[in-house]
Amino acid sequence: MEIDPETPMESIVSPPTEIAAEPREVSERKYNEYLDTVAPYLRSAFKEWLSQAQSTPLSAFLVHYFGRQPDSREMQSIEQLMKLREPLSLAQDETQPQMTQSDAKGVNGIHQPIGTPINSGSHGHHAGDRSHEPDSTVSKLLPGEAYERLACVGEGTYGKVYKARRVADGSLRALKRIRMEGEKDGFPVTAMREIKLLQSLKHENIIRLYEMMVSKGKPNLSPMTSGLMI
Amino acid sequence: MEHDLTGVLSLPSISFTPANLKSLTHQMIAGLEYLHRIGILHRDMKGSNILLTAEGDLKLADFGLARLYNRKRKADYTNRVITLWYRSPELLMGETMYGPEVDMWSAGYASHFTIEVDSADGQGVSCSRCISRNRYYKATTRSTNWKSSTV
Repeated sequence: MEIDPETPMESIVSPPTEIAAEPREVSERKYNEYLDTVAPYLRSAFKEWLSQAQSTPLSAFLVHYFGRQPDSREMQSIEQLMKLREPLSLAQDETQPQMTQSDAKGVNGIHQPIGTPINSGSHGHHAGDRSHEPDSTVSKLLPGEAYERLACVGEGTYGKVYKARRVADGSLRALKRIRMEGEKDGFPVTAMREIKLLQSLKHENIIRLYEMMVSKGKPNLSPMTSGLMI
Repeated sequence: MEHDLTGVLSLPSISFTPANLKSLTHQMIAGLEYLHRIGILHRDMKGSNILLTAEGDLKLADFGLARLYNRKRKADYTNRVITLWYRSPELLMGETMYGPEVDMWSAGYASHFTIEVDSADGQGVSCSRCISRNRYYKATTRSTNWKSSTV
C-alpha cells in the first residue's frame, strides 16, 4: 500500500477540537444530520474505522479501505465526521464504562487457534466486534482459558471460527472451534486430517496452525471442543 | 480490515490497483506452488478461503478438503470437491483422475474474478450452467484487464 509521502500526516489525523459544552442530544443531532449528507461509501468507511476502535491511523486506514489515496474532499467529510462525533464518544465513555460481552456457559468444541491474518495489533479495545449470537459464542474470559473469544467471524458445518485474543501475550488469532457434539466415534477424522496437514505446512502465504486444544463441555455433554489457532 | 477476498470484493468502495492485483495474485500462486511442491492438493480454492490482512498479506486457509497426492502418477480421487463455480471442466464432467491442475483452475478463476470484480456468486447453479459460464468467461476475458497489470 503506497502512502503518498507528500501528504502530511498531521493534516489527516484529526486536529484537536474544541469541545463545546453543548448537551449530548444537540451533538448527536448535529452528527446524524451531517452523516446524512455524507456519501454512503464514506459513511461505511468511517463506521468501519470506528468499529476497529480506531486502532489504525485514519489516513492509513482509508488508503487501505479505498485501495487508493483519499482525495481532499473525502478527507474533509471524514474529518468533519470525526469532529462531530468526538463529543459523542466522550459522553459514551463516561456513561458506559464497559461493554460486557455475553457470558459463555461451558465450551463445547474444539478450538483451533489458527495462524491468521487477524493481527491488527489493537490491544485493549474491541468495541467494534459484533456478535450476533445471543450466548456462549463470545465469551468473557473464564478462569484457565488460554484464549478470549472476541467475535464470531465465520461458521460452517464443522463449527465456528472466532477472532480471539491470546491471554498470554494479547496477540490476536483465529480460533476454529470444531463441534464434537454429534460425533459418536470420537474425534472427527476430517478434523484430524486437516490438523495433520496444517502441521506440516510452513509458508508465508499459508495459514499457520499455532496450537490445538481440547476443552471439556458441560458435564452432561460429551467432552469435545478443541481449538486450532491459526 | 482483516477479511477474506470475497468479503473485500463485496465492499463497493474498494477497488484494487494493478499493483494490488499483481501482489495478490502472486501471493496466491506462491502459496499454491508451495502446497503442490510438498504434495498437497488444496481442493477448495475460492475467494472466501483466501484471507487478507490489513497490510495486504494474503494467506490460504481452510484445509478441510485438502489431501496428499501422488506426484508420480495421477491417482483416483473423489470428484466431489471444490466449490461449484471454481471447479474445472473435467471435475464438472466427473473426472476422478486429477492432480494439482484442479487447484490452478480455481486459482485462475479466483484471480479472474478479482480482476473483474464480479460480485456474482455461484449459489444454486447447475453443472451445465457452470460449464457454459466457464466457456463464457474464457471467451470474454478481456486482455485489456491484464495488460495494465503486467510490467
